Order: sequence, then C-alpha cells, then structure tokens
Amino acid sequence: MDRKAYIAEQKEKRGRKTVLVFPIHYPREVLTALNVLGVEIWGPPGFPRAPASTHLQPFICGIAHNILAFIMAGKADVVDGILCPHTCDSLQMLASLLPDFKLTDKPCFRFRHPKGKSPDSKSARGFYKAELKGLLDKLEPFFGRPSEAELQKAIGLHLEADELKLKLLDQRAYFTTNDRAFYEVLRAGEYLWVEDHIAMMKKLLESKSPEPVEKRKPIMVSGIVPEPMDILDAINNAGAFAAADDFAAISRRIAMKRPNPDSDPLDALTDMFFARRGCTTLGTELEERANLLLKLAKSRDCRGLLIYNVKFCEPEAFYVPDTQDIFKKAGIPSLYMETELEAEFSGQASTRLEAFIEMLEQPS
Amino acid sequence: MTISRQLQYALIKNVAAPLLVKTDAWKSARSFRAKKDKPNPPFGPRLESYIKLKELMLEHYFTGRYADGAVPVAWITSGSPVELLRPFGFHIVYPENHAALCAVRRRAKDLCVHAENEGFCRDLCSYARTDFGSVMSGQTPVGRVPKPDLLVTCTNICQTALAWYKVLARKFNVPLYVFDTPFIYGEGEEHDVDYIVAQFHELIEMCEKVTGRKLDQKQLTYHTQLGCECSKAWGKVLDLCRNRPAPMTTFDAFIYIGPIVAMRGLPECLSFYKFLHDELQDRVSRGIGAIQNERYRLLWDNLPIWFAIRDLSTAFAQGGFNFVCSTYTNAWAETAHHFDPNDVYRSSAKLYSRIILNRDLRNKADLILKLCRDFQCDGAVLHSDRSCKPYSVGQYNLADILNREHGIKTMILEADHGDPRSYSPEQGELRVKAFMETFQ
Amino acid sequence: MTIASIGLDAGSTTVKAVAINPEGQIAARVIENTKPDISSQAERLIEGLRSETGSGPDTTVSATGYGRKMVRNAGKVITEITAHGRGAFFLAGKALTLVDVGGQDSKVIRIAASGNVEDFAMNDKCAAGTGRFLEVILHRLEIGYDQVEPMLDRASGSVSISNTCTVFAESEIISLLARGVPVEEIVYAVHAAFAERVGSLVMRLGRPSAIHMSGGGARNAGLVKLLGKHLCVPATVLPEAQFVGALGAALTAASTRAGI
Repeated sequence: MDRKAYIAEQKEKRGRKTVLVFPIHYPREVLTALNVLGVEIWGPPGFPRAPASTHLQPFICGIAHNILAFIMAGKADVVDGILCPHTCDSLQMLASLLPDFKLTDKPCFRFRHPKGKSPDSKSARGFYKAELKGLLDKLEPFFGRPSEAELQKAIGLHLEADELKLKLLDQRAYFTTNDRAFYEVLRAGEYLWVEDHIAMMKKLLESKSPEPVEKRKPIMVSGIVPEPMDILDAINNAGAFAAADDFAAISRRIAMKRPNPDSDPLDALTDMFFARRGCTTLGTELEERANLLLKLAKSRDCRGLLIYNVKFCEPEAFYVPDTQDIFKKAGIPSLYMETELEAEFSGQASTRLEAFIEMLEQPS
Repeated sequence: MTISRQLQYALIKNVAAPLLVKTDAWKSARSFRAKKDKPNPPFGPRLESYIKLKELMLEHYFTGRYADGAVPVAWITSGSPVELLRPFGFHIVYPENHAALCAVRRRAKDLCVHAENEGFCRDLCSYARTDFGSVMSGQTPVGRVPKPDLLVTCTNICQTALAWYKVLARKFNVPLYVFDTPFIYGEGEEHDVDYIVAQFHELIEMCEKVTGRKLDQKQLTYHTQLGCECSKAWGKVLDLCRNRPAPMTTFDAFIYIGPIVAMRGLPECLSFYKFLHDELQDRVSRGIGAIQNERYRLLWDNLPIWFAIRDLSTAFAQGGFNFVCSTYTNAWAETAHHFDPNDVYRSSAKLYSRIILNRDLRNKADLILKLCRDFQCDGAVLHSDRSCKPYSVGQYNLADILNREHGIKTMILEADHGDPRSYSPEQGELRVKAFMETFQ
Repeated sequence: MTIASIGLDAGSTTVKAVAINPEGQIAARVIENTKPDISSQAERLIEGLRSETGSGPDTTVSATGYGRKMVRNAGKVITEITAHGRGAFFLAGKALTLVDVGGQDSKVIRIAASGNVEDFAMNDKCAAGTGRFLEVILHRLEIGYDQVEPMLDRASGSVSISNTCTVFAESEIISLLARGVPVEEIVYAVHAAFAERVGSLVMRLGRPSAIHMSGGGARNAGLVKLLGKHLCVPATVLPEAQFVGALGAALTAASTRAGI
C-alpha cells in the first residue's frame, strides 16, 4: 500500500490524525501516545521545485527545498499539523518561514533539543524534559493529552521497534535481500504506525539465513538520508553492500540503552534521547563519534566508508575531514559524495562510487 | 604559563604595544591632519575616530601575539557571553572578527582554499574556512594569533558555530564549552532562561578549572555592567544616524563595530564609543553628512560583504544613497535594555538569547520595519549571504513585504561575507546601478 | 600482428580505442568525436581495429569512460579511474600522481608503487575545472590550444577572474574585453583560475612531488606549464596522453584473459 492510501486508511479505520514531521530528532513516542500518525518528510524528490525556490535561496539544502516544494504542491493538505524539530539553521528558519509568512495554514509545532551537550549534562536534561512538557502543552488543544499509561505503552512499542532495527542492522549479512529492499523496511517506520512497522520488521527477520550469505564487499554508509534510494542500488551494482549504517534517518535515532523501567515517562524519553549514538546535528563530540563509527566499521569488517551527504548540509560537512582522517589512519579509505536530492542519481556520481569500490577490490 | 612568557607579555602590553601604538598614531594623526580638510568625494570629511580605532585594534592584535603562555587565552564566537570570561583575565580571540579582517585585507580566499584542500567543503561558512585555513597554515595578516586554552561557542548566532568549534576543539585538543541558547519562536519560554542561567554557572566552573582562579563576583558585576554600557553607547552612536544627513554610513559602522565585538566589557571600548559619539554629534550639529549628497536613505540586512565594502559604499554614495542603519550593527545594541543589575544572570540570559539571529522571521520583519521607520529609509538592500543561512532564509519574502506592503524599494544582493569567489563584482555593480535608477 | 586485447574509452567528447600486443604496446589506435549512438560507434571502432590488426572476433575487449555501459561485447567494464590508473602506471612504470583533464570531468589519481589506485578526486558536477570550461572560453576568444602557451608567456598576469563558474566567468570576460584588457591577459586569467581549481583537486590528495598529465587537456601545453607552476612541481605529459584510459582498459582485458 502506498503512503497516501495508508494515511487515508489510518484516518478512516483507526481515527488517527496525521502530523507531518521534519527531520531528524523528535519524540515519536509522544505522537503514538496521542494516537497520532507521524509522517516524516526527508525531502523526497519529484515535486516541482520552482515555487519553493521563490522562498529559499539556492544555497539552502535539497531537503528544505523539497519539503517546501512538497507542501506547496498541496501534498500536505491532508495532515493536521506540522512538527518541526530544531535540526539545523535551515530547518530552523523553514519552521519560521512556513507559519510566519503564511505558506501553510497548518499549525506548526516547534521542538527544540539541546545542542552540543553530553548525556550527563544536568542543565541539558532539564531543558529537554521541559521541552517535552512544552510539546505536550502545544499539542493538547489539537490532539488531547496522553495519560501516563498511554505514554508508557508508546515508549514500550518504540523501544521494541528500535531493538528490531538494531537486530536487523547487526545481521545484515544474513539476508539475501538487496540494500534497497532492506532499507525500505528499516525506513518504513518513517510513516507506518509503530505496530505495523514492528510486524514488517519481524517478517523480514524471519527470512534470515542461518549463515551469512552476503558475498559482496562490506562497506559502511553514513550521511543524513539515503535519498534518492538509487544510491543503494548503485552500491550493490558496484559489488558492495551496506554492512554498517550511520544514516541520521536510521541508526542515529536509535536509543542504544533502555531507560530505567520505573522512570516517569518524560524522564524515560529524556534518557532515550541522550542514549542515541550521537549525530552531527546534535553537536556530538567529533573524535568520540568518529571512533564509535570506526569501531562499528571494524566489527563488520568494512573495507571502506561512504559518506553520502546532502549538498549544503553544514553540520554533516563539518565533521567529514576529521572523520575521514581518523578512518584513513585506521587503514579504511573513504569516499565523500554529495546529493542534491534530485530524482536521478547522476552518471558521474555512479562513476565515483564504482571507482571507489574498484579501488577497494584491488589486491593489496 | 611560564614566568618568562608572563614577563614578556607584561613588557609588550605595558611598554612595547603602547609605544608602537603611539608611533603609529603620531604618523596617522599627521597624515590625518594633512587630509582632514581636503575634499573626499563622494564622502564627507574623514573621521578622527578612525585613527583611534586603528590604535585600539592594533594594540589588541599586537599584544595578542604574545598572550599564550602568559595569560589564559579563549577563542569565542561573537555572540558568546564574554563578560563572564573577563574576571578570569583571558585574552580573548574572536575568530569571526579575525576572519572578517582577513577578508578586508583580501587574504580570505587563499585561506579558504587551504581549508578546502584539507577536505573542508566549499559550501561551509567562509568565516569557518578562513579560520581553519589560518589555523592550519599559520598564516594571518595580524602577525600571529595566540593558541587557545579554552573555546567557547554560543548557538545564538547559528548552529554553524557549534560544528565549527567542534573541529577547533579537536585541532587544539582544549576544552570547549557549548553555550546553547535555544532558538526563540515567538516570545521565548521561561525554561529557556533556566537552561541558560544554569549554563552561566557551568561556564564559570569551566573557566575556574582552566585558569585555576576563583570567580570574583565583584569583577563579574563590573564587567557585565560595563559590557551593557558599551552596548548602550554603541546604540547611541548608531542612533545618531537618524539625523538627516546621517553623520556616518553603515559601511563605516561595519568598521567601527570592531570594539563592541572584540572588547565588550572593557573600559577602552566604552571610551572609544564616547569619543566616536562626540565626533559624530559635532557633525550633526554642523549639518555635515557622511556622504556629500544624501538623497536617499537605505537599510542594510545581513553581514557585510567584507571584501567589497569600499567598492559598494563608493558606488552607492556616488548615486547619493546612504546606508543609515542595518540589522547587523544593531544586533550589538538591540538587547542591552534587558540587562538588570539586580538580576544579572536571568537578565543576561535574555540579553544573549534575544538577538535577531536567534529569533523568528516575524520578529525580523517587525525589526526591519521599525528600523526603516526610525531611520526614515527609502529603500533596503538585503545581502543574501551564501555563508550565512540563518540570516538569509526568509529574505525573499521580506523583500516582497517591504516592496509591496510598505513601498520600501528593496533589492537582494547575492554574495558572501568572506569568500570573493561567491560574488561577481560586475553583476553586483550592474544590479546596484539598476536599483538606484528605480529611485529616479 | 598478434593482438592481446582491445580497450575502448567512451568519453563525453571523444571515443578512443586501442589494440595492444602481448607486451602491452599500442599496435593500433583510433579517436573520434563522440556520436549520439555510442553503442554502434563503439562496435564500428572495435571492428575497425580488428580488421586493421587482423585479429579475430575472440579478442577480448574492455570498456571504460562515461559511455562504458553502452558498449556491447565488452567483457570487463571498468571506471575511468581504474583504467587511467592502470594505463598511467604502465606508461610511467612507477608511483605517480595523474591529472586527467577530460571533457566532462577532471580527475586526479594517486597511484602507488604497486600500481594500485591509492586515492582519487574528481571535480563536482559543475563545468568549472573541466576541459569543457576552457573550450568554451577559448572558443569565445577565438584561440586554439597551440596559441595558448606563447600567450601565457607574454602575459603579465595583472588581471584575474574571480569566478570559475563557466557562466559567470563568461560574463566577467565580456566585461574585461569591454574594458580593453589585452586578450593574452584574459587567456592567462582564465588558465590561472582553471589551474587553481584543478590544483585544489590535486591538493586534496596531498601535495605530490610531481604530476603527470593525460586527457584532452594535456594537449594544452600552456595549461600543463601553468598547473605545474601553480603547484610548484614539475608537470609532464604522459606519452599517448589521450589514450591512457583506453590503454588501461586494454591492459585490464588482457589480464582478465590471462587470469591475472
């Protein structure tokens, strides 16, 4: 079922309202607890960009352009609101542009999180929890207020989904499926109701082989989002596969530690936020992050690192040279590529990727 | 810190630098006197404050060369709470200010290229690239920039500053404090203030650790109050441009902004702005304008195009156009009124978080309209700055509002604050001329 | 004539094909402007080489270049990076940094003493820093490649262009011409901007001790000289500069057959 039909069905049969969600970090659990379907928008290509380009400069990233193009094409008319996490300078401004200059009549809920703070920062935890409370207040007039039990239940479901995601990613080599199909399952959580996503992941897990079956060269993939998904086909066609993942859309949002089961739900959500692997957009420590990635890459025997960034994405691009340097010193070559989130994957990009994989295949 | 470095620094600061400054000032004063009464078309007569400014900045950068190893050195962003660092005796380096200086002196491009060769993408902010290029190559037009013992970044200007300083923290392997001021949609929330106040204390703790000194509360109050007075004095200077003709152009203000960015909270900063104010006041009372023939008054939005200030100011002045205000110069004055000496922390939290760059576009639109009203602007130039996304997004709509709803003729100028490769002077000049023609 | 293999490099501007003998020497070569129908053009060129060298239809063929996937009958298909690495290493016989200035892209390849490609960089998708950029500008000024070097020698280097974007650069050049700037100064400025752009590609892989050049751009002697000067390293043009990719492809085909 396609996304549009799914949303319509959720509304009709389950009475679920829909909120459009900007990337990257936000408490999806809160929406679930409110029986609201969150539909994330990562700047899908394919909508006419011209209307958006009268509001955004050409040096603003493709995600922001495509989100605005999507909204201006009327594709978000069915949603009941827009949730805008404070991800970066560009999305921060888009979250102001939309309501302040009346580019949408939907209510916009802004959610900010601490930047550049370590998990043990008391002030940052306090702020995050206060923001969660603030978000509940802002959502209440539109969607009601969830009970503590509803929040706890939603947290439980999302923890289960996170664990399944981790399990799938850990065992990628045991699946015969190609990367695109694999990532489609992982990314379905961007719009599916959490229980439907859990069922989908469980189904894929059942197809796991007893032994590793993936014969292609293992590489690590990093970046904001694997879009257009053709990048994954290109990796497979060139003779490699995504053995380790560090996309912001996928791994960087998984809580790596379960919260204390006795915690109050907002404390649990705060714990889960600070238990994420870290992300360039959260201002995670550079060396710490790179070393974590390196450890993961080594554990999966990755031969190379592909950093697939969205052009003009500053937070991500700042981390690149040092990350590449740390990988290089560990003997793992890396390739930096940029996408403008156009519908097609360019021939030149594909040549660079193929050349990189050929380089990894050389006898040492 | 070694004794010999401290001794050398004391000698430089107290003897050599003043001597150097005196000599330079003497030379400048002589050439100033020679030029003072000569016509300077299309501009008005030269300001003596310029010599004072040169002295101040020269001393700042010159003593800085010898600071590391003698006194603690901190590198901080322009929006950081510098007053908090003053009681600890830090020599403060502002990489943004340094990068702007590199751009003015036409050194930024090569430094950017150096950073790009090291893998930093050309789409990154040119301040950051200039800074990285300078750090990695050791090249700077100021002789030498002292290495930091502490880095402080504040997210009130952008998230770029956050990632930029993460890179610096790894390069220098020194502690970094991220002062996080949540972006304000609407009027801001009380828990933002709580968060910021808690961070003041964390930052103080970190300064104590880095310097081995305890905070002197009296000193803190002194510098905070002084910082606020500096901002107010700067605001008074800017306000003089409400007069017709305006005694100073915004392009001048871009140069005179140095001390309020780099020396806020110091007595010499305050006395400089008092001097500048008096000189401008004198111009006002004598009806002397910054340009010879002020026919139209304009507002500037966003950072200056540092490498093209002279060309642009001349082109506009020749047409009788004077820039009389800007959202950028205003940013160092606009929040000073929040300060309350009886509640230093909470009021400072507001002062630091409510600047234009940390607030939404509704606020920016209102501010621009207010400035246009207060300074009687006929038009506006919005510099769409490739290197500064938070300052630039929304300008297309703002231009539309100004043009259509308020009859303020507005043009968008696509350029960059530091990288000359992102600006086409020919096309820029052509657009400027076409814009000026619409006023005829 | 014993032919070991055929290599074909389907570039964006020209298609190059070579047939090599078992020692790897080029026995026959052909170069043509790229036609819209690359498949049949490739087929025709391969057929031509076969009949010229009298080799049979079972001679292995490898293809490279941006149109490589359009070449039917090609055994192994490899990217330009690998092909150029291979070809350049064969020609130079040592570790080297290769700068290939092609029509659609410029690439820099660092080749280790083992012959392996160690690292590479390619220009991003805009035309600045590609052979096309120079072609457009030189065409506008009505200057051929062979005229460039003496012009660069004469120029004082007093003007510069700030933009390397082809569109912007063109408009900058128009205004320079309008200001009466001598043509050789403009030619110098354009080449200097180009050298800077390609130079930073080179620097991304670390400063080399020397560079070797290939591709259509290597025919521009003035450019080669200026690039070397800009990087402060000696710059040499590889023999068979336009056929390095095709040679690399042929070598790959031969080694595939020999099972290496």
